[in-house]
Amino acid sequence: MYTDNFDHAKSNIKQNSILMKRQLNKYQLMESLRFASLMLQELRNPNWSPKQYYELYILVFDSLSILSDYLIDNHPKKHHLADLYELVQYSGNVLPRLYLMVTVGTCYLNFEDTLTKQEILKDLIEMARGVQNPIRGLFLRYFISQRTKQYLLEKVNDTLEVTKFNCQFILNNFIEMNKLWVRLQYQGPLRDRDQRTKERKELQILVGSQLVRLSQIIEDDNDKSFETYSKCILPVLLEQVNQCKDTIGQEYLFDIICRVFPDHYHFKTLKQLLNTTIYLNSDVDINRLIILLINRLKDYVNREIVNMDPSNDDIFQIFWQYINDIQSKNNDFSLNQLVLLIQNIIHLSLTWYKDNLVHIENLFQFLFGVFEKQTLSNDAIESIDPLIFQLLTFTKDLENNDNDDVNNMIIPIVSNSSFYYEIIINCPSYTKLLLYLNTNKKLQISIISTIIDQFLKDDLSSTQSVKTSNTQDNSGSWVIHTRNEIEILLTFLQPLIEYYHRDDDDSENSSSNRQELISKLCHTIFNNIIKNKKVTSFKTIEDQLEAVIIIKNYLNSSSSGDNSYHGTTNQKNNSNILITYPSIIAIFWKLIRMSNFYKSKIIEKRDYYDNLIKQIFKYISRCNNDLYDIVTFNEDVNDKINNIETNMRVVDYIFKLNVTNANLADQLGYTELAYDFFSQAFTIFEESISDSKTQFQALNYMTQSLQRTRSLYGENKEEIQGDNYYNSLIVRCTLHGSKLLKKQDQCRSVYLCSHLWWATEINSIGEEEAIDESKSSQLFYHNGKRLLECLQRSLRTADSIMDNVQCCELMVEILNRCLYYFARGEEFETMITSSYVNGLIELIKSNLKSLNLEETTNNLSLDESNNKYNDDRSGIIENFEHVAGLDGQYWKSPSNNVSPAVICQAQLVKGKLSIHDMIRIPTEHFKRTCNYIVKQRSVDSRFNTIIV
Amino acid sequence: MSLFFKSPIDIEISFDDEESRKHVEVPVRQGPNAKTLKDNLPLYKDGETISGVVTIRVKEGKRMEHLGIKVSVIGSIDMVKISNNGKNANFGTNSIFDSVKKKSVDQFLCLSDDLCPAGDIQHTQSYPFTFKDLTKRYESYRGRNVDVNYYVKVTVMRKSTDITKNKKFWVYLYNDLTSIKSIEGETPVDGNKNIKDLDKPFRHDIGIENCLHLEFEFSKSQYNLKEVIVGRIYFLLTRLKIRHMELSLLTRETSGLKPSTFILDTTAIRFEIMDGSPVRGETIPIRLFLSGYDLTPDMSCNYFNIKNYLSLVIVDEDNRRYFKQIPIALYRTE
Repeated sequence: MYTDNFDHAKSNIKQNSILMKRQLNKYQLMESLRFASLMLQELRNPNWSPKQYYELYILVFDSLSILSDYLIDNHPKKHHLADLYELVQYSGNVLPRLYLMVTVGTCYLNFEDTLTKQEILKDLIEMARGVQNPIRGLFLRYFISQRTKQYLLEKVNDTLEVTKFNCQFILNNFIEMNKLWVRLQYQGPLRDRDQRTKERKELQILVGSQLVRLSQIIEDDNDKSFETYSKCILPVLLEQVNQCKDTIGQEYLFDIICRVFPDHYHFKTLKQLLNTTIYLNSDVDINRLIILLINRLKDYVNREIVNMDPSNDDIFQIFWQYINDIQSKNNDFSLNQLVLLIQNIIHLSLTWYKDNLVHIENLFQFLFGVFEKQTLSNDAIESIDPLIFQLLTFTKDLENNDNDDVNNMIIPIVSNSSFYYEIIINCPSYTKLLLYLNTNKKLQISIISTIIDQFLKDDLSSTQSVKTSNTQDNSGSWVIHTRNEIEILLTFLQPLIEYYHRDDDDSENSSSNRQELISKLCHTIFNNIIKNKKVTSFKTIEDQLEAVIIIKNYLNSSSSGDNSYHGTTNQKNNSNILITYPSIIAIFWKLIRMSNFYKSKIIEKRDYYDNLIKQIFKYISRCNNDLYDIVTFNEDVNDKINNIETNMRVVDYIFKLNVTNANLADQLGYTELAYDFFSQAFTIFEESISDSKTQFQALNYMTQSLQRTRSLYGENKEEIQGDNYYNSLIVRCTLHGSKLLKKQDQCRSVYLCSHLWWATEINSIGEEEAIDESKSSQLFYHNGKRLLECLQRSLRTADSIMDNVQCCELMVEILNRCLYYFARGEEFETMITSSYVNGLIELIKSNLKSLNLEETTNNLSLDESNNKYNDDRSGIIENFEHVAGLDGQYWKSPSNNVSPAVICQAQLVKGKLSIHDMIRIPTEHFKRTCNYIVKQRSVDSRFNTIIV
Repeated sequence: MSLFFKSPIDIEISFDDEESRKHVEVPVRQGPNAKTLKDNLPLYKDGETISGVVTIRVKEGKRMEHLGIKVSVIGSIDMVKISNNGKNANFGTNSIFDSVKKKSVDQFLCLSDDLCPAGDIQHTQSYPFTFKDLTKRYESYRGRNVDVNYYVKVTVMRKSTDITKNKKFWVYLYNDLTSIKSIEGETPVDGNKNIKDLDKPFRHDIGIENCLHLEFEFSKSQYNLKEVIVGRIYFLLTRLKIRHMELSLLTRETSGLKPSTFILDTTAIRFEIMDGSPVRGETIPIRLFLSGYDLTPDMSCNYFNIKNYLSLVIVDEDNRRYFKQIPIALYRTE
């Protein structure tokens, strides 16, 4: 019968094939049929795997082709095919009999009229039922299909009836093949199930080939073909898909249907296709199929886009109907799948109906409805996290999908901010959906961040492109039109605004980073408003101001307390404004500057703008107070220790904001406001800045700012020396300086404050150095007496410092100040006389002498190894000069050609310096100062009076 | 032996047109090489005249006296001798005892004719003979236990032993449908089968409870030997793991007189009609060409009868066989 060894089987087939050919050459048909029959016995073996069987099948197929060539060539000279057709049916085994029948029958197709042909075909397909074994049956029917291919695709007598018959024929064959294929899964023991699944996958191509054949028949593109397809073919196919109740089968068949038939057919029969998927097995990956279908449709649409009517949204309506159906009819449809599906439909909608956001809104609304109905648990949402993320950010993770083929077709459609903007503005459900996710903050935040990133990125690129091309209308840019839109946008951002990153989360920084995103976005929004003010409703400063206030209110909205969960959250949310408010304040500053610009240009509206500016300053003040309140409040709520450091930072920041505000107010001439801000800054300094280093820095900053002020002296020049705002402020400042904790800080702070009594010109606002020295005192606030007091006070402090090196260094610094004033002003004004300077120099010299004495004694005490060590080091060190910084820390910088430019190369010295190096610091400093004095002599003769 | 008792004459019987006449190959049942050896016999039908020539040759220079030469045509039913107790251990077995001589039990035909009166023969002489419009009641048959033989016998009568020579010929009876019906009518096999229905498709429902249920349908229940059996099988329930299904045609030879009858089945056709296991609702087509096989039509007489059955055999994965036999009538037409 048949052999059990695969190689034997192969060689048997080959041998019988050769024998058969030999007989054919001798025109011994009967004998050759006998060998053919023997050869076919091998195909009866039930033990082969599909692959092996296929190998044998190929051999047999080739062999039978030779036989059929012979049969065709010699008909009817040597035999009649009709007789042979009967003859081969005497074959005792059904499988060889059928193979021979097919061989002879298909040969006969070449000679007969249509009707007989159809009879033969019918007979073949009918008799093939005799083979019910899946693998053998599939191959037999595949054999039929291969053998009849040529005939079926012949276009000679192409009447509709013939085509229909041919289709019917292939369909019949297909149906039977499909049955066999599905049956394979359910035959045999349960444990081999996986194996059979694998085998089925190997065999699926045989089934699929039938559909390919069908598609070839209806290939030529006319109405008749489509009619055949839609009326005769597709319903049958879909019924098969439905009926086979087999997951692999359903997936594969639907897949193949989508692939092999022309896409414009799918376009027309979309409804049927979609309806079929509703009733598929629940474990069928519907989305993959839908994606495939959608992609096919996309191809079509992309081709036909010119002919399409964009207002025609039939396709969307079909899909819309579909998701409604699937949700209502298919209870097993998981959320996961639904989300994917909706995502795909959105992509489709975006491709075809680019401007129709109603569809998208509908879809989001639908999804929202589903979410709401199911009252999702947190876990449920978490499980579909990535999906939701993709859905809401309109991206598609390309790597995640296993099927490359499907993948490559889907590209994230959306990546520009104007699209996001449109979605946010026009699809309320989008925001609703996002806000619904509030049980999963992380997800919410990451979605929002992604979108904001896009906003920022596009803003950056659009400003760049504006710079280069000067085109205001950038296609990718988005425009905020109304206040309402701002509110919508901010509602969308609400989760992020309220978001507080808990400390127990690992990425501590991300919270502030996220808030920084918002800050950046505030600027972007504002820029957007300004940029597009001509076309939007934000035409006047007032409108713009209002917009900013809306933003500000949203940023601080949680403090109103209506959407907070518990007290501490409220507090924590509030602290976010520490990061976001500064940007608002900066925007206010911009507005003030703009208002001031208009104020100077439009004389008639001076008062209006004046009021506006004052108003804005009040807002700023409100912001500052809000911020300050948080800090102070935070202290009351005994929060974690590490908050203290944060608070310090924040307080310092608020202090600086106030000072900056004061400066701004001062520059614009709002004396009262400037004073208020300064005094507020002092209040903060007094109440909250407790760290000595910070205090020193804060005072320095204050000193700088005050030195630059102009309006505080008052309108009246006569009052300039009298009691005014400026005076009270600088006195307060100096007092604070003298009360600093460390003496060196006191000393430095006070000698810096001395500058407050000696105002100088600021080039940037157009002031020039008074040529006439006598006038300068009238122009600028000069008070030599106070100046000298400051220096003396500072010198006293320096003298009282125990550390010799520090003491000397500070004295040299004071000497430098003295020389500055000496150079700048007349002695009678500054009260800095040459004798005073000389005295100071003497003092320094004597101090240095005692220092050097200390060094020599110190050197003697060094042992040799230390000495050696020093020598070694000196080779390296020699190039460096150590200098003292303003804050008392030591720096080392290249000693040669010391110039301000090199200062950046200076490095902070860590650890302790050797006494030798320390002593060098004031010594060298003093040398440099002396050098200056000597050099200055050639320029200014007064320096001759100073003895070095 | 024959050397010593060598026949002094040589008798040759030849039929008219024997060369051109249709012949039938009949396997030799008896003797060595019974399997492969085949007789090639001229074929006659009922009512056909049998004519021919008897040639008698005498050995050279001899002469032979005889009491007359007679030619006769004989039809007989030969059967294996049946033992009294009705048991023959070798019945139905395929052993050497097959070669047990069958004895004539009934000579239903014996017609004689004198060819020449008593005298002597010196030369070769030929005598034509004719049996005009000879009626042949039965069809020739060569079975295992029963034969129906026809032959022409030439007897040269002598004082001593007669010299005889037989020449066999083969007889086919061609029936039209009505005659078959009459046969069926004579021996109703299936009580519930109505003669009127013979020509119509018939169905059978068979099955094993909760295991297998199928229905088969044949286009009719009687076929002539050149016809094609067409039918189909519906599977209504299959829990069996079927390996394949065969359709066989059994020829049942019943011999002997009642009550000591013997039944012998021969599988004339074995034909696989299905490979693999079908599922519920499958339909398996049947198409069996009969003309290519050497089949025996139904026949019946006192001593024996021949009946044909279609047998449906299902073989499952464990090699168990399930079968069902359905009688069908076969008849010969011209």
